[in-house]
Parts: sequence; C-alpha cells; structure tokens
Amino acid sequence: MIVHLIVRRLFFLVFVLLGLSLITFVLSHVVPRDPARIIAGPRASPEAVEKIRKEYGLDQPLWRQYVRYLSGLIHLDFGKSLTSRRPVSEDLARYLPATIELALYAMLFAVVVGIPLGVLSAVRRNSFLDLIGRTISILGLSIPSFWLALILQFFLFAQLGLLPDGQRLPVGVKEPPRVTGLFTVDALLAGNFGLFLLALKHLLMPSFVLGLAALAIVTRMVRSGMLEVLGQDYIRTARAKGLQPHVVILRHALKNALLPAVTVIGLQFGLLMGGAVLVEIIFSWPGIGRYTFQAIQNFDYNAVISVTLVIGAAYVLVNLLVDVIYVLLDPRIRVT
Amino acid sequence: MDPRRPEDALGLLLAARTGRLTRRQILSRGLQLGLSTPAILALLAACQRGGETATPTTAPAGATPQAAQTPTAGRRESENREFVVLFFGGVPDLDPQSAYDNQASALFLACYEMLIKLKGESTFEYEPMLAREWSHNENFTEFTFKLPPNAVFHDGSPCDADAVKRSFTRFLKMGRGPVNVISRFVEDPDEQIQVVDPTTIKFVMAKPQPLFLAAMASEYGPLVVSPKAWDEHKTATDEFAHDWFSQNIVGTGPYKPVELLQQERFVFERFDQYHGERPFFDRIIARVVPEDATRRQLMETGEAHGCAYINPEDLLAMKQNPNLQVIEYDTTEVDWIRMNYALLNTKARQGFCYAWPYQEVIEKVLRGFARPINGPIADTVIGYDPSIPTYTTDLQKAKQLLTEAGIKEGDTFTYMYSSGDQTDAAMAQLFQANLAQIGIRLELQQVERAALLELAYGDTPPEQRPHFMSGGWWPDYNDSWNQIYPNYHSDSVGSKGSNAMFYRNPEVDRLMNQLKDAASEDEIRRLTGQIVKILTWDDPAAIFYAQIRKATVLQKDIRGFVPNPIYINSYNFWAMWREAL
Repeated sequence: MIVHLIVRRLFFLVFVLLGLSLITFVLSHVVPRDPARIIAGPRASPEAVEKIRKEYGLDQPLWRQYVRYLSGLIHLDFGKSLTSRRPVSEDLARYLPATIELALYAMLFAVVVGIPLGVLSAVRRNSFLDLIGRTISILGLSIPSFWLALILQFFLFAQLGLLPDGQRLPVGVKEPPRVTGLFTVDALLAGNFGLFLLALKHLLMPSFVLGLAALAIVTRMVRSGMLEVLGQDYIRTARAKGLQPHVVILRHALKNALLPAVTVIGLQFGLLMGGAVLVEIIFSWPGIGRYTFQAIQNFDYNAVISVTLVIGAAYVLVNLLVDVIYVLLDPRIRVT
Repeated sequence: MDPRRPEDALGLLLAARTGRLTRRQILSRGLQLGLSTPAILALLAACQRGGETATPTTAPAGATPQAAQTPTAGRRESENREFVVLFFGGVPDLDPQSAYDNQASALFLACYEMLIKLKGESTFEYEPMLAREWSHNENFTEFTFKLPPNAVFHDGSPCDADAVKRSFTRFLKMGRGPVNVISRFVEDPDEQIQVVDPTTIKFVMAKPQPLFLAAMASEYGPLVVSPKAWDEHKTATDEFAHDWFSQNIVGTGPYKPVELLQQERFVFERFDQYHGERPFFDRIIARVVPEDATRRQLMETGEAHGCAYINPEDLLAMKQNPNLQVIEYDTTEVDWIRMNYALLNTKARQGFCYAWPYQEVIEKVLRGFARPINGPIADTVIGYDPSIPTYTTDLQKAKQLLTEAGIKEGDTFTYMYSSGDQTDAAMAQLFQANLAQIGIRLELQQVERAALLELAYGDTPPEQRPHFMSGGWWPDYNDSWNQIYPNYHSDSVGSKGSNAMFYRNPEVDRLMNQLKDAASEDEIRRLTGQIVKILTWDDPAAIFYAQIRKATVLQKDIRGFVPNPIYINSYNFWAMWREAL
C-alpha cells in the first residue's frame, strides 16, 4: 500500500513540477525587465548588452525559450545562470547541500529540543517548566531571526570568541571529499572526526538561529497535542492498569500526540529550505537562499525557475514522507 | 609671502617645498591658479627634491592618516604574511576583459596586470606594471611599451610582445563589458598593434590620442590574459574561452589563484616566478561577507585586515578604534540627481538646483565623506575647472525661478529611488522638506533595485519616467569625456547608455564630439569647462551635489597602502606589508 502511495505521488510530482515551471516562467517574463542589461551593468555599450542577450537566448520568442528550457530539463540541464555564468546544475550542486545541511541541523535542533520540551510542558502543566516552555515558544516566534543572528554573532564571536562568525569551514581548511555535499556527513564518511567537529562548530550558530522558530512551533504543537491526548479515556485506562508513567506518556500518549506535529515538522523543513536567506547572508553561508536572492535581483530566470522547482520538489517529497510516517504512526490511517 | 596661503605659483612652490601641502592640495591649488598638468608635475617634483613630503614616516598608533598614507619607512616586518580583505558580494565574472564591476577589478589587481598603472595617488602619472618602460611620439600617435624578458603567466607560458598583442586582440574582438575603454583608440588590433621584437610592442593611432596612456592604466579591461589558456579552452561555441576565463584566472600578476569560490572566498598565493619585485604577503584572501555588521565585527576582532565597504556611520565609529586605520581619500566619483529633461524646462531645473540641501546632505547623510562640487567632473580629473561656481541652497532664488518656469504652489513632482537605499531615502526626504517650504510637493517613490535599473537604462520614454532619480559615476580612466558622454550625450539616451533622463542639448553634443578627439590637454580643459558650465548652469542636466570621499579600513599594522582616486576601493597588494608592532 505504501509503495503504491509513493509511486502515485511521484507520478503526480511530474505534473506539479511542470505546472510550477510554467507559472514561474510566465511570471518571470511578464515583468518587463532586461536581464542582459542588468548583467552587463550600466556602463556597458548597447553592443555588449546585445551580445549577452544573444548568448543566453534572451532574444528568442518566449515560447521558444520555454520549450528550450523544458527540453533541457528532461536531460537535467537547468540552463546557464546569468549571474554566476555557470550551468545552474553546477550551482545547485554547490549551494543546495549547504542549505540542506543547515536546514537539517536546524530541524534536528527543533525536534530534539522541541518534542521533549512540549512533552514536559504538557505533563507538568502550569509548572515552572511549562512556563519556560511557553516562554521559549513565544520568544522563538517573535524574535526576528536577523536580529538574533546579529546579537549572537556579536556576543559569541566578537566578544567571547567562542564560535566562528560564519562560513562552512575556516579559510584554508580543505573541504572533505565530496559525497553528499554535507560537510559533517562527508567528514565522517572520510573518517575525519576533527573536521566533523569543525564543521559542526560552524553550524551551531546559524542552525540555532534558523531552528528557533521551528522549535517554538514544534514545542507548541507537541504540548497542545499531548494535553489533548492526556485527557483521553485510554490514557486514564492505561494509568489505571498501573503502567509506569513514562510508559504511558512515551508509548501511549506521545505517539498519538505526534501526528499533528509531524505535519508541522514537514512543512517547517520546506520553510527552512526556502527561508534561510537572511541567516545565510548574516553568517556568510554559501547556500541556495543567497544564490536565489541574487538571482531574483538580477532577473536570472534560469536560476530562479530551477530553484523554485527544486524547492517545490522538496516540499512534495517531504509531504510524501510525512504521509508515510503518518501511516506508520497510526495504522488506522488507510492509504487511499 | 606666506607659504600657508599660496596665492601664486611661487607661493605654491614654497608651500610644496616646506611640506605644508599634500600632493592633492598642490594639484588642486595649481588647477585653481590655471597651471597645466606638466607645470604642476614639475612643482611636485620640486616639492620632492626640496625635502620631505607631507607623508609621515612612522605610524602613530591609533592615528587615522588624513589621506593616502600608510607609512613605509623603517621596515620591521611582521611574521604574519597573510592579508584578508572583505568584499560585500561575490564576483561572478572573473574574466578581466569582460567584468565591469568594482569588486572584480580590486581582485584583478592581485593577479592580472595592465601594461602600466597609475602612480601612487596620482591620476595623471604612471608607473610600470607589466611593461618596464614606455614612450610615445610628440603628437601622441605611436605608443611603445617595453616588456621584461622574464615575464611569464601563471600557467608557465612566456608573456612576450606576441602574447600581449593576442591578449589585446581577444579583448577587442570579444567586445564585452569594458571594451570601449580601449576600442575608442584601437579599432583594428591586427593593424594597430605591432610586435616590434619579443619584448617590444607598439600601438599605432590613426590620430593624436593624448589620453591613450590614461586608458591603458584603467583597471577595467586592458589587463593581459594568457593566450595559451585561451587556446586550450576555446570551443566551437566559445571562441574566446570566455566561459573558462569567467571561472579561472591566468595572468602575470604577483599572486596566482589557489581557490576561487564565487560566493565564499578567493584565495591567492604569491607567484614565485613573478617578473617584478617580490611582494610581502604570502597569501591574499578575499572573503565574501554580505552583511555590513559582520564586516565591521571581522575588522574589529582582527580576523580581517582590510575592508573598503563600510558604511559612513560605522566608519565614524571605527575611526575611534586604536587598532584600526581609516584611510580616507578623494575619488573621481561625482554623485548627482538626474532631472527629467523632457518634463522640466530650463528655469525649472535651475530652480530645483537651488532647492537642493547641499550642506545637509554632505554633513548629515554622507557624514562628511563627500564635498561640494561644481559639476560632473571631480577635481581629480583632467578638465576640472575651478572657475565654475558651485550651487548653494537658496530657497528664495529657487522659488523665483520655479515661478518663472510656470510652476505653481501645490504642483507635485516625483523622486524615485531604490527600496532599501537608506542614503537615497534620506536625501530625498531632505529635498522634499526644502521644496515643501516653497509650496512644492515632492512624491517619493520606492521601487526595487532591478526595476530602477531597468527604468534608468531601458527604453521607457522620458514622459513615463520620474522627475528625479539619483545617480553617480566615476570615469574608467582620467578623462572627462569618459565621464560625461555616457550620461549626457543625446546618443546615450535610454538603452544606448546612461543618459536616463534624456538630456539633449545640441551644443553639449557638439562640444562632446570635439572633446572626444581633443588633441591636447589644453583643448580638453577648454572644452570640458564649456560643457560643464552648460550642464550645471546654462541648461542644467542634474543637481551635482557631491564629490565622494571613500575610506578603506585597515588593521593598524598594515603599511604601504596607497589609495588612488581612480582605482576606487582597490588595493596596491604588491606594495603593502605588515609591520611588527
């Protein structure tokens, strides 16, 4: 059944991506901008601008540009970036893993801290612990990430020198042999634990800043889910049977309370992937957020459409994963 | 005669000899006295022969030199031979014959070379770069450059006269970005560039070109790339190997690339086969740090050693930091507010010139990193005419002229600027306040940067453009035509240039066409003066509100840095070093 669900979703993914590409392409081109002029700069001669226009096929009719783009896409050729002057696929291979790694650690932080905090807040409702949990939730949602990033950078880097200012690794340190593009994973695969720790140290501040809002949401969702479940009859029955409190909470309550949180976690991961721009700028993190920001500024169509497709595909796949986890968590849910 | 107040050439000479004036002041005063550049050069030479210049020889700890001065005498070199410089954004195009942006050229000066470069802080004297010596005939039609016999590219291939010719041929035939810098003088490289012998190359002009050397010293374009690398990487669809050169560097400069990561960093190490003097630093690292606050923190913690991209407010704070030097210098950049020529008549434009808050903008918005200017030509550029008066704010006069122009109280005008540009927003608000005092309404329109660029450099008709838009420019080399033509010639309107407000004055066009072919410095001065007078007073094209001063922040132990008004935000890596403190 699950296999059936996965195959069907992947089939529909093709149409989702096709629709996304069409909408993004049309929207990008209805704006009356000349990317060739933007790339060439204000000082360039009309001839130089025209040269760039021809080189990137911007002088072609719109439909032909779209068909060309689509035919390239079939061969995983995303075209050439107007900003970086390289194939977009090369740029994605370079910058996407940086953002995925950042988002993964941010999500890991949100889940590892958020779920226990939500559980404790619910179990010890109205206690001091609950107060702490709710305060963290409110702060996490209300503190602007750019402000937090600058403050942390000021104290932890500039004043105390505990953590680096940003970047994935210090200048001069060789990157691990590329397997996944995630430096921490690749360092471990290469058996270089020192490099793993170094990469992890560089991840701490940006992933904390990026993950704080997700942490707040996860904590809230788990807390409210737990409060609802803890009031159910079957929990009372379990307690009446004399089960240990931790067994009641972890095995019976948490499993059911997690269902709505899993949905939120899935959506949050997509948001983290697409919303890391400010964090990437402040921490000089060479990720897809900064790349997209520059691409939008320069009307770099190929890059904008490609990133949209990748983020869109990531959303669909994460949602698929959520659905699979749903089925595994709750056997009552039937795949239809 | 009081040498502190040099009122004639003799007084100026005395002041120069006693070291009371800097080179910049000597140049400025000399121009005000109507002296020609050669005469001023002689004065500067006399100044140097006569004793000490105004440049200090030791660095007072924590002091902020006034200009162009990181002392060089009495070297006690540090063991730390790494220089980390900060950029605000990536450099996507590393092809020096195509890239036309300021950060790229700062990077290129570490690894590529022009044949000659500007000398120190001068905008009209040259010194060797790739070429050891050069000469030209009397009427500026033949320019000969002598190359060092031992020059090689980073890929090991020899850099002889033939290689230089091929490099210029590639630049001119590829026709990208800054090609106009040289194509104005050399239209046919095959004919006009001649290899005399392996170490001698000659450029032959069709007519006298007194500004050719200035153009050859530009950091935009005339840098020499390896023909061997070109041959190895050209393809059927990319005959100039531009794709390859936009991602790789093979020059003759003192540093060769080690790591080139567009959005992250550019790492260079010393090139041991460099033909010139061995530079001090082993490694140059250019880090891309987009956030202002992070750049400041990196400088203040000592993690970075140089940064030219610090906002004025942070600069004021960093001036108080004893661990840093803030080197301020005049540039060739002039900033202006373009006025819509199609929507505003002459009287109206004159009136708006009087309504601009000059002093407030310089003091409160630009925080003193600018000074008043009398037109589009900075006082560091050949052709600057000190006799042309400078506007000051006079609301009475503004109101009178606007009334004569037929503008009534309550009439509304539009000022467009890029969202997020706080400087432009603050200036616009001050202008708005001034106009409100005389009953004129100014509507401020914020648009995103790309939209503003598109509007400015696209083909939108002037009637659909705002009344005011900010702008600014500095010439690619020391040439007033290069500064004025793209902005105010009628051939440069819309997408054909940067004449975003469709300024069209036949007399200015005529004078500019003459200026392009001017055969002597005197002619350049005379024609530029006439043009500037029209652009500023008779038929104003813009509100010329400031000549920009820039600042580069360095750690206090960095020595040998000499900023140049034309090489804005760049570094003379080859001469910089670190003192052991």
